[in-house]
Amino acid sequence: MTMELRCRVEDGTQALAADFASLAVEAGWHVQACDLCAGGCFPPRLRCPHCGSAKLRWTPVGEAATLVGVILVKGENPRHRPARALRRPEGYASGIVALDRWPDVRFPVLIEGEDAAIAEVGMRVRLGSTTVGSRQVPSGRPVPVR
Amino acid sequence: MTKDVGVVLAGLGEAPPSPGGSGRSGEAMTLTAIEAACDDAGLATTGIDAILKYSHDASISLQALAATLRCEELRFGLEGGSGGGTGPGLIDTARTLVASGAASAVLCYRTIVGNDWVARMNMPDEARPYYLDVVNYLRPVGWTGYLHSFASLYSEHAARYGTSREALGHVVSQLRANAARNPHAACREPLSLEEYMSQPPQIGPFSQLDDFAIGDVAVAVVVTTAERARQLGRQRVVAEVVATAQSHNAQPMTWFENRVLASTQESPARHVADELYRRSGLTPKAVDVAHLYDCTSFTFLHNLEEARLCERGDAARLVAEPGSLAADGLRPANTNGGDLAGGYSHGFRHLLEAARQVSGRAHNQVAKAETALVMGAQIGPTSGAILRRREIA
Repeated sequence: MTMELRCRVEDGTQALAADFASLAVEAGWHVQACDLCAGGCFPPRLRCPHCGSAKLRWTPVGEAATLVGVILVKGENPRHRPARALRRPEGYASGIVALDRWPDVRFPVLIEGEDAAIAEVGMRVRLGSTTVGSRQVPSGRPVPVR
Repeated sequence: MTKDVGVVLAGLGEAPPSPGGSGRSGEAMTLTAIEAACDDAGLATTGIDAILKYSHDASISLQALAATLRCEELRFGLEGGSGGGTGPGLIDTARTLVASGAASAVLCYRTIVGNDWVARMNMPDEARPYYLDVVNYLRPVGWTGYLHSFASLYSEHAARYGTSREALGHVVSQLRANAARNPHAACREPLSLEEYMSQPPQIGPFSQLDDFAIGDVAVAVVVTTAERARQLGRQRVVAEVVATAQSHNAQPMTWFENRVLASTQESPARHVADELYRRSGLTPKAVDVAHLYDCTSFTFLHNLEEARLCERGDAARLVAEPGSLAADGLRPANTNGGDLAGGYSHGFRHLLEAARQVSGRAHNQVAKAETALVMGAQIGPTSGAILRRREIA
């Protein structure tokens, strides 16, 4: 039986953020889905952006996605500094993906190592997790084209 | 839409940009700009009966300002919190107040203490609507600040249209050239494309050269009717507010999921531009000079397209034309250097420069400029305005 993961919209956006983080540790990354219109959304909202319903539940992001935005970060300047745990000589990339399961939903991922330099819009990625400092964050790894 | 009763920018004032950390207080700069605008209009500060300002500034509060100016009766006060989309939105509101008779002389202003603002911009802030939940969802995957968000939009634009860093370099180089003709610009040194390209990108395509020039600046305008401006008797030619528009579309809050590029037919800036053209009865061809929000080089480039000043995907070709953005160029734009080179004002200085252009008072004057377009950020919420030369003497 699949566990029903209700979104605690009555407790506000910080409660949603806390649930998003704890769910990631226990059961992987999730976005919101609406009971009424079946639409998906991210970042988490208090009402469905498609129909206004408060009946929202958490649903897994799945593993497959496509990059729709990529920002390679290499170096820093006084006005723009990465978080301390991400200050690495080789840099990293922030990606925005469109989920296969929810094509209209965009989700942010971290792309690390050699993958960061080759990531580009349109590339297929496999979603996962990585640890930055003491925090688990969503990651994306480009899938080789066969 | 408000009935046109001839609303004008009767007074223009500024405390011109100086380097961030200039030592000038936000309050002092605000009062300098406001007193200059009132003097320009021929209006005593006591006659101001409405004040509109940006939220998130390091300046004086609206209530304290009204007391300092000794406003006889403040009928209306409001702070706008739409970031780079705020400026023309303030004029839109002022126009409505004046046209309806709810106020007779509306003061609109923006003050920025540069370094303070940069610190605020990169500080996650739940109160700032266009930064919804950076702390929880974007910062963990490496979001570094506003530059990051515009870099994301650039990556989509580049994938779709083949946009390159060279195009961004042309923007920076051309706006630096315009700034060189403005004695009050923060960054007046010329920059060649070769010099631009020699700087390695740090955030997506951007180096520090693609980021707005930090300055301490205050800009103020007085909005009233053409009839009142004529009675005040200080100016013979002023900028009439021909059309204003705002967009607070369905997804104004999150930059990373913004469909600015995903929806080719409807973006916040495109919606605003189309409303401006519809309400004014003008076409993009009628725009003699444009002042487009330019907190980054790409923001300007993208705004050229969204405002229909060129076709989508064609802005790179336009800016590659030597001198195309100059006062005597193919498409005069940001003639004071914009915020990118002139000094960051959150786009409010664009209104000042547009009003100066159509009233023939700009340093880098476009010959016979009659009509000016002002656009806020290309993402939502945003706003825009069309100003036109009007003789009131």
